[in-house]
Amino acid sequence: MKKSAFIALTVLYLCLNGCTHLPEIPSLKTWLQPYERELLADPYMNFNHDPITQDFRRHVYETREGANGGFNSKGGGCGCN
Amino acid sequence: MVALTARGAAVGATKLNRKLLIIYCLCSGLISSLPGALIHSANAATLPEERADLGFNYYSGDGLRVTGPVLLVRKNILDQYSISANYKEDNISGASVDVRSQASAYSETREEISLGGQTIIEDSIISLNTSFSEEPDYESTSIGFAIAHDFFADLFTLNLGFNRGWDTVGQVDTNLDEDIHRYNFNLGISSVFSKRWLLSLDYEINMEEGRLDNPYRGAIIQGAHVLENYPGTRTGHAFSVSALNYRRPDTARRFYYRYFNDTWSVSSNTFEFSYATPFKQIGPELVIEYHVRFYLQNSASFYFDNAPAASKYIARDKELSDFNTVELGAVGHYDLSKWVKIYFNEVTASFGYTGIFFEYQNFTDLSKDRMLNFRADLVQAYITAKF
Repeated sequence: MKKSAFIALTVLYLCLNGCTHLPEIPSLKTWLQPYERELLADPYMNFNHDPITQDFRRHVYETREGANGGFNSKGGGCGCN
Repeated sequence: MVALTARGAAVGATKLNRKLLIIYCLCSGLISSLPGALIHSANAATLPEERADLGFNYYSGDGLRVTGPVLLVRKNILDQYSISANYKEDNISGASVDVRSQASAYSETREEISLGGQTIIEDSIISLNTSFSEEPDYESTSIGFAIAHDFFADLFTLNLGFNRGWDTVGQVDTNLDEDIHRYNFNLGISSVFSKRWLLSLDYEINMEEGRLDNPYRGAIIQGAHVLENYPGTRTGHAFSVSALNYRRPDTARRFYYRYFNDTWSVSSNTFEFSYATPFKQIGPELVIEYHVRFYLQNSASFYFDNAPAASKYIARDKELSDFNTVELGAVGHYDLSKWVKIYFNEVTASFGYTGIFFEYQNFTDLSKDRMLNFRADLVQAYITAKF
């Protein structure tokens, strides 16, 4: 928790209190109206619909492969010692 | 003020104080944004669904077994906030092949606790999270911040994220105590491409600094065992593209590709395809999600199975070698809602199995004097309640 952590925490605080007025994108013609998105509401049409399975597999990949993926569960549990 | 308080308190903080400080900042940051969030209550962004999951994980492969429970709870507050808590435990026993040749089998327990909070501010979702992982010879703490902003009639979502991690590397029966600093930035954009297609493009950069080699592992030079020595820094880049497609009746397909490379010359390509569909013989209550995954990796520049000569950096960690994996798996989700309707909108029982076949091109199993290959089995069983 030194200088970098202080900067990160400051950015977090400012974002939480300052993101209420993000700039508006000008209205352009959209190719899909809200009422046309019923199929996309299916629970499986969600990139994170099964967090338990995804988290377990991601942890296995992180500890068995050289390519690092997610971050939060990084470290430990690899059975390295 | 929160940040100033954090800075002052951080001076000379112990590890416990650091964890408490992170939780404090997480909570106070979310609470401090309350007025703004309440004023801007009209929004298109939605919080993740409320749910509770309780399950059990099992991993077995290459002489190693990892088992343990997992618990996830996510709850909304005032329709503007979502908080989550996740607990995992890994009970590890055995030893992998590159350890068996130089050490004996062991057993230990790793515990991980993750806390998260999300809030909606106009068309954006702000997320904060933190996690702690602890085992006898390794500790890991991280905090993360992310923002997802919907724009252009909610057809696009821009995702930005930053994570910071602090690890402490130890070694059983020694005084080893060295640090790793981790930084992660990610940027992504997802789009509603059509009535049936969702697309996502993502880029992620990971930077690590500190004791990156494993104190238990050794390398080999002309048949003689020596200690590994890794560079003190590593930067990795990952580019990925994924797509979700809905097909009638009631099936969804997912396509995924990722390219990764880093400053150690490790590069990899990952391909994945999954397919979720009801199991017609049983009925719509049972949905099976099949997946197949291919992973191809080139070795690090300082990796040697048996080095011909000494060099500044040297490794014999099979995770840095040249290898491929093929993975096949399926998860069944059975909807129990018609039996359990008292407190929950939906209750699902899930069971999954995944087999991963590892095939190494330049890592010799010294006990068998041939290239290593093995199968890893992953089993999961869990109950999900949505409310």
